[in-house]
Amino acid sequence: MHAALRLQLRATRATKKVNQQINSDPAILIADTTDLLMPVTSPTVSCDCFATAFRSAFALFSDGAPLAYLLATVITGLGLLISAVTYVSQPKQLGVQSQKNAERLATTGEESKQFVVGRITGMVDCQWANPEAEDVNGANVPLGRKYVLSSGLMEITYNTGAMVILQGPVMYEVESMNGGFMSMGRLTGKVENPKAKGFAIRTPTACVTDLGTEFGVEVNKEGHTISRVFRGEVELRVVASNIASPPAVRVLHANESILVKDSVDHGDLHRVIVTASPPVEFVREIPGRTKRPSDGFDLIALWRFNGGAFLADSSGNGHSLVNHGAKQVDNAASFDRTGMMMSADAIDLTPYKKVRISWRQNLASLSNHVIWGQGYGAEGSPYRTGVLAAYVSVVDRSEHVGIRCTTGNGEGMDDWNRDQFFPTTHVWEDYAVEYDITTFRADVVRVFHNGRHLVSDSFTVGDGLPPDSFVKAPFCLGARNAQSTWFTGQIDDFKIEGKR
Amino acid sequence: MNNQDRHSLFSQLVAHHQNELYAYIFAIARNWDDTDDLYQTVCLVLWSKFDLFRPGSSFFAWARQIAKITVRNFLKHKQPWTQVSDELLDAFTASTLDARCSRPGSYMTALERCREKLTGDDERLLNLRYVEDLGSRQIGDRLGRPQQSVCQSLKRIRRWLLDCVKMELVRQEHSRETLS
Repeated sequence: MHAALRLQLRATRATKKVNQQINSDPAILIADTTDLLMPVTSPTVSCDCFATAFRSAFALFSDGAPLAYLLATVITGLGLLISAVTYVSQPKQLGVQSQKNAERLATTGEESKQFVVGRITGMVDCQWANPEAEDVNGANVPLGRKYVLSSGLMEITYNTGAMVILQGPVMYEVESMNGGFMSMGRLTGKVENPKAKGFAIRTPTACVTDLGTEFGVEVNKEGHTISRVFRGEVELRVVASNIASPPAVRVLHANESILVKDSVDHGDLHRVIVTASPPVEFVREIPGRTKRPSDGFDLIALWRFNGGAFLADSSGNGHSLVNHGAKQVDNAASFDRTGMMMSADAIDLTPYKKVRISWRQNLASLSNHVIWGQGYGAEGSPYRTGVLAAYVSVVDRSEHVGIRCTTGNGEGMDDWNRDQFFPTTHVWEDYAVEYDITTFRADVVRVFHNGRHLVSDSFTVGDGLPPDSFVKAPFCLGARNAQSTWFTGQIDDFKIEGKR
Repeated sequence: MNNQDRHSLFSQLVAHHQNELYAYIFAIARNWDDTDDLYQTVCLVLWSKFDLFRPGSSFFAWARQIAKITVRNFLKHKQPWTQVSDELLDAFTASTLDARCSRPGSYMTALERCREKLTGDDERLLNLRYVEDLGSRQIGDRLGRPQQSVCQSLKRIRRWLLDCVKMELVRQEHSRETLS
């Protein structure tokens, strides 16, 4: 791994340098190229690109030892070259293991640039092949995303209305706006919206196109595709093998299932469709969607930044936002150091003893930002005293990069470095903070992907101004006020809850 | 073909063969820094001679010949006490003919695909480690991070790459088996 990585990275950098040189001077001339004008296919060409004055000296040193040295060099080099191109794994053993190894598209910065084709609308006991590939319930599904589940169920609802339930272990790639590629595993597709007609699931051996229906597809361990129709009909098209195997297309009706498999007949490979009893159990509904037990919190405001309701409050309480330069990117609010958003009205937290703020964020850079704050109104507004706020705080890059959650007016901020929650850039992260007015403590919970609770801490906040109660003031997203500490990155699903 | 097209074709060809070419040069030069310089020299020679390249013929075979000559002359200059035997080099060159790194299904291709999925930060860390050859302490100083955290990040990236490569190989194997 080390040698291969070193080689690839160095080669990449060197190639980049070459391209830069060529770009800056396309007519670049190499000082010593004259000797290279001869046909390059001749294996015995000799030329000296470097000081020819040394040439005569070489002959003097051509005794046995240097030759042996060269021989050793070449043999070692050959070994390296061979090792560089040798497999290191035994593919056969990986049938099970591969479930555990995930693609990590989920965490790349590319996500924000990708085209969102749907959302994850349900998950049950999802075990991911790689924790970093996890995603949260309700998360966007970008085009090209791969999901590798080792167990559990995940439901994706495409923007077209088509729905799939992936049943782990499964490897599924969202390869189009209205379909996907499943290389192994099992899924159920449900297409009720006429807009989603033509929804297609590809497997290595077949393509199942929906004609308005509910159906199941499995790619089993042998690589055979099994398709079953529950309602309506689908068209199954066999991916051509070397020999055309009739019939290449078959329409399946309700309660029919077929198997596409390869068989060798008279030495030729045939890909055949055979009627099959449904050997597999398809999950057709996400069972008992796990609802979080009510913990006594009332929903006060919820900004989802979705579609045409970019500034709307989904809680039904009417706390809509006023936009000052934020943009809507992939159904999230995107800030570029100059924009902010502010609730149009004051949000009354005074009746509550506990307040919980939760949000998703995708940081573009690690520098000082205000993520959100309450009471830090725009310059000149009457709300100048802050009560609640969250910052990305970079005090000293080696020690103090963190999310800090505060109360008070911010003056005691420098004393609050003990709560370090290291944020990452270009990754969607979930945070939730609970402020308790009676103990004057904040319980900060960092939640990371799939609702998995990673870090939790309690600390006393605001040694400056302990408020008697929460206040009534507008919320600002992406900035504290019009002058300072702008946010760069995205914020999504911002939720304010209170407990009386 | 205008210059733009020429360059774009050239950089495609180079990018496709960069790992093999780099490995070939390293196998003879046995020194990363020399290999870096030699690789760039070879590429610029290839570029200046690109008009002689016949599309359809093997770019790598051509590049390897240029590389062989360049590296040999370099070694003669740098280590005049060694005599570089043309016969040996030719034998070596011939033996690398089939050692193609860039064919699909190879470890190197899988690694490359996996590397493309790394985040910018991870890629930067790998570059500091493997290209600039810094130790974890130096990287930590450079990034203002504790050495321990750099070590762990590197470990995590390598483990992830290893897992990804394994899966990529399975995937390629799988699609070859089922499609062929």
